[in-house]
Amino acid sequence: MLSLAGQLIIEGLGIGLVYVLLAAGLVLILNIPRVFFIAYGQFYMLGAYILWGGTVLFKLPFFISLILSILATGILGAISYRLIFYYIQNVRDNFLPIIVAAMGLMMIMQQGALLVFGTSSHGMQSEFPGLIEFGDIIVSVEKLVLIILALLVTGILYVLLQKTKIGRAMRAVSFRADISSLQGINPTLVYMVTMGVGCALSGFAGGIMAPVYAVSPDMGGIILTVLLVIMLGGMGSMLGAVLGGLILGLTLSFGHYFIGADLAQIALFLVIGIILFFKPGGLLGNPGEDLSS
Amino acid sequence: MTSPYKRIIGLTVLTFILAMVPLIVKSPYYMHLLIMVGMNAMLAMTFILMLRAGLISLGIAAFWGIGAYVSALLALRLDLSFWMAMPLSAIITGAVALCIGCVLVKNPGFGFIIETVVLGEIAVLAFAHLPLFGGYKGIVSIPPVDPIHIPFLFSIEFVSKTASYYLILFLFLLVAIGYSAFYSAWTGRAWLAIGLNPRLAESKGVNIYRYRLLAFVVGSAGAGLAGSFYAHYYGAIAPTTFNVFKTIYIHIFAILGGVGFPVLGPIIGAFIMILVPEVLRVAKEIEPIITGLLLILLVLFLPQGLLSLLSRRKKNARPVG
Amino acid sequence: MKTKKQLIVCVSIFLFVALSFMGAQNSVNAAQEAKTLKVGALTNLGWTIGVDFKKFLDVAVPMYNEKGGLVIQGERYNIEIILYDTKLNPETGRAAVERLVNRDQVKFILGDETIDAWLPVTETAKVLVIATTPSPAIFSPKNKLAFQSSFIHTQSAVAWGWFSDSYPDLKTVIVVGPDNMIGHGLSGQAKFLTGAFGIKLLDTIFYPPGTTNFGPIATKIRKVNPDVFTTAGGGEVQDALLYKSLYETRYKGQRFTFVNLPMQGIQKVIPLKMIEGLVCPVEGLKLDNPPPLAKAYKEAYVAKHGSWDDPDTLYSNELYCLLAGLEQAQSLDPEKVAAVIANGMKFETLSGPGMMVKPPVPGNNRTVDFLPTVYVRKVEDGKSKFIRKINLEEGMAYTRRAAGGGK
Repeated sequence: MLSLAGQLIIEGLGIGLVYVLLAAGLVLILNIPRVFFIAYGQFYMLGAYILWGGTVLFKLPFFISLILSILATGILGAISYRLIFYYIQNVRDNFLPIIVAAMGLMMIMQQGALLVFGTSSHGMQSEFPGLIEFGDIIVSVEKLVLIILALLVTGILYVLLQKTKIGRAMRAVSFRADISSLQGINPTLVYMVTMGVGCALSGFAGGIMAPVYAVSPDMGGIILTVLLVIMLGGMGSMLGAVLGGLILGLTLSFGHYFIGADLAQIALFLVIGIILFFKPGGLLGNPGEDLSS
Repeated sequence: MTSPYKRIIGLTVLTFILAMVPLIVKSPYYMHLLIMVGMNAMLAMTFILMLRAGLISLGIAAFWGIGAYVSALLALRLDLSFWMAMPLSAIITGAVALCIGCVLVKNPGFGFIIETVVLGEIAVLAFAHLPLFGGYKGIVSIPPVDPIHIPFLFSIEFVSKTASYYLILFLFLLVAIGYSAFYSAWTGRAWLAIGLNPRLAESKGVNIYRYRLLAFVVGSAGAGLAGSFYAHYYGAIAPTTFNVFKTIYIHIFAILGGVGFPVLGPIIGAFIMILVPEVLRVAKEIEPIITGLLLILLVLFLPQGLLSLLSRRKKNARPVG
Repeated sequence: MKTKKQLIVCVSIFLFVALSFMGAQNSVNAAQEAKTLKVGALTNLGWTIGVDFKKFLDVAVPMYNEKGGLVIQGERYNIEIILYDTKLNPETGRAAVERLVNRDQVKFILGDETIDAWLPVTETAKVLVIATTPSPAIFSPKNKLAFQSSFIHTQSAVAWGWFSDSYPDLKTVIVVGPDNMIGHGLSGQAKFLTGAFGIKLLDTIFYPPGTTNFGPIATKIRKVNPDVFTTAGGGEVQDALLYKSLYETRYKGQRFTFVNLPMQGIQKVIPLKMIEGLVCPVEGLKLDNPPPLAKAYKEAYVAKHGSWDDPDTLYSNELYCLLAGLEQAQSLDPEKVAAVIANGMKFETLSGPGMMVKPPVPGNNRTVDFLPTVYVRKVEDGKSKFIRKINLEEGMAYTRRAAGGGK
């Protein structure tokens, strides 16, 4: 029984940490430039495809491809902010236009990926083959690598936000953009960097999961799950994103085993609905935080 | 704000123009597209209605689906005619919305958006898993709209596309007039106040919760009406039609035309978003890219919707004339 | 700023108008060519199998036309395909069919999975439909002109029947499929067929479409430990990931699929050693020594698309069924063609000979389903090998047994 629980925890941790990375990036984007970025899932897909292209097509080492996918998605995210959302950000009632623009970007990226990479999905021969056994628990090495990398990047992100100058600037801008600009912070630059960091996190998540869970053009649909994670954890809270991601990953893992995957999904929705009803801001969020108003 | 008087004139002119369309458009294919425009415009109107009360709902498609399923089941299981099933399904959808809305509307804002997303997903899963709704296969062979027999004179058959077009036009106007009545009455002023500044409105004694719930229920009933038409017009429904992506499209219809224009905006938005991809069928692979690019350009240059182009010119013209 | 905005709007409108004229122009040109038979085709170009269908049509139709085309009572017709994308969305599919029927005026349509949303349109317009769909609505006796030409119903019956005869010791099975129409359709078939052939179905597990983490499900299968494990229509990624997770739990049971498993697609995701021992039916095209039509098709495909990338041909029978129907009826009247097809027509496909049969579901007397020659492959030593050919007579016997509940 203990080994079963251990097995399920490991399975849930792998996918849960992917959710954590994705949610953390989207929380940044939602809170600092305040963009409701539906196209976020497509960056995840792009990151995965770049890693696949790098390792399989161009035979680059795994880590170099991973860095490439981080850089490419980060730069693309920053550019997309400067080219599109920068202009809508100061418009009154911009919440809905931003959704439409993000939807347009999503359609372009989705179809672009279909045209460039084709409709078929790809997997790759494992970079880290082999299985490790701890008693009855069997874990593949690649899943362990995924977990370690994800934990590492979550740590780096924490340091970036709390200890560095740009991190402090980000937080300052998220409080009051106009006042922080009086302090010599360039809000546009900070927004671009934030979009870049957010999208790079998405690309990184896509990159590390690609060898484990394969690459397909419809991966972008993960955005719905990520939104759920953010709601569960709380809109404005980084810690909430971490908590939400882990809870979702573990709940789904145990739910899939014990009550079946289809029922688990419905149960999860209901539980999240109930939590949101009693704590409208999410587990660690502040109910006053509101993007749409 | 336009006066009710002006609004009635505008609606009459619009009705006249729309009623003339079948005289020009003959191809059943284009008639089908126009029917789809009408139905989607109804849904987009619903979105604008809820938006006025400060509710951004991503669950409209779920209520559209409830209307469709209820109507189909009423027609198939209880042998009701379309003319009975349609109003009943709107009422039942409204009742369901009342039950759900009681809980959801309490916390509007970002939480509400996500809760409606969740609601949309649950609705699709429920349609797909409850045996009553026929699983993922959905419900097929739903009877078409029953003909109206006027004794000794004639009967109207809803076989041709033109007849269906007039039916959807009728339903569209029904919903448009219904919503406009709400806008003109005290409810509209309350919604306006809530939409502009909920806290101020509350301090002035407006019961925000009740007015929002009203908007939610009325809008859902309108969506249910559209769903009933959809079920009988298509003759078959499947759960995945009613997912969240459909609602996002409904948003685009509304925002493209301009949310400041509760009747004309949805028509224009739905017209463009349905016709452009159809016309671009020639350009199969790059069609979504062109559509996406058009969306971004429109939002960049006309964030208040296409129709804001007209009104801005009017505003500029006013001081002169 | 204002003029710039207006410029952009004007340009967009111009683009819109220009493209619509382009569309009109195209169809006019096509109509001017004499002696062409227009055939509508629908598919989802967001899917590999949909794109493969497009590629198939690009190769097979010119091939047919060059070989002499369709000859009906001395008149020669070139086949012209009008292909529309349905995105697997009922609304888009319906719009596409309205366009095909009313604007392009086709009388024959090769349909796809959105068929439920538009079958009433084609039935009233007297348009012959040959479709590929897991939905059983197409079998309804109310439909006069709709046929199912893929093997998704019949081949399952043949595969389960053959499997139960060949592995009589394996008595318990778990089916895992996606939580969507295809998954539920196929696992419904599995439930019915395992009952008919005396295999015990222990559990049916559905996962949300797009799931990538199959660890928990695999752990569960390992725990229940059925004799046989089978997937039901997950597509290459999900199926491959499922097999990978299962391999990682060291589950030892027999892997079997009753639907075609795209080996090359699976191989892109996982090495074949992870599915050692798997038994599955395949199309004749995938054999080392394929039937004659398939051989010619393969050569033409390489000439057209450069290399053989193992395309899926699930939809290909639609075209061959229609062409055979037209040839054997010697008529362009959809009703006459339908009568010929419904009369148990035999025709040649990429998988060798096939014929129209009654579907293997109880209480259905319309001959609307298609039975192909079925080939079986097994993965041995990391390679997929051909082991058995099930010809039409044996296949008929299995489908009859299934329809009769195993007797």
